Amino acid sequence: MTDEAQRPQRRFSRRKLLQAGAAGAATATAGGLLTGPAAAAAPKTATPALKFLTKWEFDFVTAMAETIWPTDELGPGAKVAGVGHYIDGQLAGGWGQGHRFYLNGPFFTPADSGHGWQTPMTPADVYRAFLPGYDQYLRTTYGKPYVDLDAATQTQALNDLRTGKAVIPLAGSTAFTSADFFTLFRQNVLEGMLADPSYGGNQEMVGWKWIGFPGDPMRRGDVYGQYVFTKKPYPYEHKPLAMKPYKGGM
Amino acid sequence: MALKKVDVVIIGVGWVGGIIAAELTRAGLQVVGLERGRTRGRNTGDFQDDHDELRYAIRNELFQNTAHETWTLRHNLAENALPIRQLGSFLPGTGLGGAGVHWNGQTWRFHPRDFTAYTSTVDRYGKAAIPTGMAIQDWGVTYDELEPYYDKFEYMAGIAGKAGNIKGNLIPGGNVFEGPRSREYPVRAQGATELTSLFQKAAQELGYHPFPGPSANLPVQYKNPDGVTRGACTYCGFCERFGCEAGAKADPTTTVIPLALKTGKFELRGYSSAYAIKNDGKTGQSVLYFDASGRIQEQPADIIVLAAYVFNNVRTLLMSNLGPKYDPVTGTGTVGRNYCYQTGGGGASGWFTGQKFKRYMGSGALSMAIDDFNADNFDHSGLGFIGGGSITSGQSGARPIQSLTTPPGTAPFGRDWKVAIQKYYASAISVGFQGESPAYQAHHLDLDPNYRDSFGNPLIRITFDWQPNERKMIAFAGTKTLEIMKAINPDIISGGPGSLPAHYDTSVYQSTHNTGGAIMGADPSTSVVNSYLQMWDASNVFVVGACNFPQNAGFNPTGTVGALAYRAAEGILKYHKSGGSLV
Amino acid sequence: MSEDEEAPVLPPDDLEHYSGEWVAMRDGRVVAHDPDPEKLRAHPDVRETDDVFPVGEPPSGFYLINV
Repeated sequence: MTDEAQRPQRRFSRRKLLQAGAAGAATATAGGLLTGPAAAAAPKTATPALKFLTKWEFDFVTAMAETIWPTDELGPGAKVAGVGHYIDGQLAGGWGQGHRFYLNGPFFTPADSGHGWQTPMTPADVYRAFLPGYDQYLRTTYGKPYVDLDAATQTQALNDLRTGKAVIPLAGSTAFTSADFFTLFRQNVLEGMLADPSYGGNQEMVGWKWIGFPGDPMRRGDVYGQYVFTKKPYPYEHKPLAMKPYKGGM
Repeated sequence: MALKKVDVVIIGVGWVGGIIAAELTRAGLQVVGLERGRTRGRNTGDFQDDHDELRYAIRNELFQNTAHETWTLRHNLAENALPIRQLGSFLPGTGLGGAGVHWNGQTWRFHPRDFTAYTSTVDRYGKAAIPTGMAIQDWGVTYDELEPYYDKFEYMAGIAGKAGNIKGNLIPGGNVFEGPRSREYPVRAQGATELTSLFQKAAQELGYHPFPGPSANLPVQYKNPDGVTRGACTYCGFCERFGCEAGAKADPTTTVIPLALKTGKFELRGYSSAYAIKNDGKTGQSVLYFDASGRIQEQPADIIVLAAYVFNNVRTLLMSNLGPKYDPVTGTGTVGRNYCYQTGGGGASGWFTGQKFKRYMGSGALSMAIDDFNADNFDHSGLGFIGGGSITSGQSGARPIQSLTTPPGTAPFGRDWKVAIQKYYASAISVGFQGESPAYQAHHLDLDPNYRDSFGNPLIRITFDWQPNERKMIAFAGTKTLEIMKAINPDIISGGPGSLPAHYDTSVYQSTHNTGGAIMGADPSTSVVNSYLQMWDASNVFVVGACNFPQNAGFNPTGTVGALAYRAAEGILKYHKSGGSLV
Repeated sequence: MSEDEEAPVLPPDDLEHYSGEWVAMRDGRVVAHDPDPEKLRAHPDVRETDDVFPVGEPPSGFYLINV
């Protein structure tokens, strides 16, 4: 885990291509591209400053998140939805810093399965320790960092995590496996696509619109009771509303 | 320096603490309630605009924070127990109202046979049917004795359902396997949705007896016998893990706790973490607790009530050396004995191609159920296990992060997965099984030797794992849920003999139905409390909750917990008047 | 309550080795295992009185029970 690994190489900037694509037809690249009506509908992704992730980490997890929920001609994916910023916010916040984890020792290797989290690391620690090891694995196995791999290889690389095929010591220990990291990461990506937009992901509710989840029922007067026992379709399934922002004054 | 003595101190102000406080203050007693958590920010109005799945359902805002206090788990007596370092398998409440603020509202009565699980099993199948090491016991109270208290809880909470048995008359459309009720439910049953109707129809076709799941989510406005009026459910689909913005979900903070507070005789102290009962071996004298500053306070009382959920009820007794500690090797002793859980698994799933449902709408107990394969409602001869469970298909909402669903064989991520989650989000149905959890000699609660909470007190250690009886039960359950799913006939089906993992897994949510550890019974050598939840060892100490169950039945526990709380309140009033043992 | 036998002195066999398969268990020991339950029941070492059941993949087979 040297600083070399963290220094960004020539970066593949999908964002620039995205903006170019919005203006008209554009050539397809390895990672797929947003063109036509889908591009016009693409939200302006919020770009807050990073609060925990380094830029290298942010680009890495965003690329991984795109493999899980890609941006393509069908609709916006993780990068456009702001999953990178979502994960950044979560790792900087209480959960990521382990505020709800019991992190007291002693620590033992579990005698069997079913004991869950048994490391003194927090989720933020895990991300920070894991990514350089994964990067090293990718350079050794596929010859390039994640952001420079083509989409098919990225899929394979992520499957290496999911299946545990990639053995990546976490700060020298293998107690937290690559499969464990994949589970954690995938969960964070789903959150980043489908949590209320106030958390930095699911920008302009692209995740909700994709599956047909109407958001906060309170915004439309809490009226599900008029529909739930009938066959009547609910007209706002693809017109979600997020939780009401509060400006003071009750 | 001890505080001024009061009539009663109650440790924990959730359903049990709330019910007992309301009953005792109504009779004029002076009651102090010690609640470890927050007492504000947990009202109907506080939940108006907070339909936030991440905050409540995933970051667990309303539940106990394991960073401060958790439990350790070992699968057997030979293992070192390890801490449950983040919430997973179960989600205990904390704060005013406890888990009563954010439960689903599924409200049942246990069967008559459940209260005599040991005797009934031996009578029908012989002693050999009980596997070696299983330690099921009779409750020391019968369903008939508890019936009036079930009725009282149901009318206070406004449980919506359809009776299947009133005074021995079986009524089709209700649960014909239930014990006899004295009267109908206080509120008519919740209706059927498109989804739950599919289950109802399929179960009927197969010759089973479906009925609406009894619900603490009001389908209509209701005024209870205490004069408390609550509004109807809005089916917002944010039920379990969330507070109810409509007040429709029965909740201690909207029903019994305000009653107690209104009398002026209930003093509620928040941020008060009780840890021990000072005693002389036969009388509880005072409760020791950490106040909001972390300083130790001593609250003396004539009567002490433990209403702090399974784990802290047992932990407080153990910390106090009150009652003989249970020894799992010899099977002797009582405090910590017969810890049980809920056996979940063996469900079936289905997916429709084309037909969409409004799955994101619902309420916590909106469901159809069958009881045909629960308890001893079916002949177990030749099956190789005892017990059973309830089979349900519900519509409690489909909050997106936790409700994405794809059929088997779908890619785990990527474009094909993305297409599938869109295709199936609104088009899935499931049939689930919630099974009994029998007691075993080895399964128990005690104090962990290695790990402590943030106050420096030892954590509770749980010894528990899945045993062959439950594994066979779940395998059987899977064949039944699959049969029903095939009758529902969605386009894609997944199911078959169910399985439990190699070991009980603390990291995956299953159920917050932890039971036992301070069980009730007729025999002081095998129980902690009598049928009024009064300690055999200290007649002024009452220990109340699911901790009293000698084993867990195939239903959600809250209805029975509520009944026991009303019974305990009656016992406490009798004791307050005349002292001595209540049995 | 069983007043006959004591709890087994050794912990039961770890079922993790059999995740995804069916096993036959007797007195805490796995006597045979097979992916197919019928083949397992027909196995010469398996008796009628043995406990025969599938072992799930971790974590698996769970219907999310509500609070």
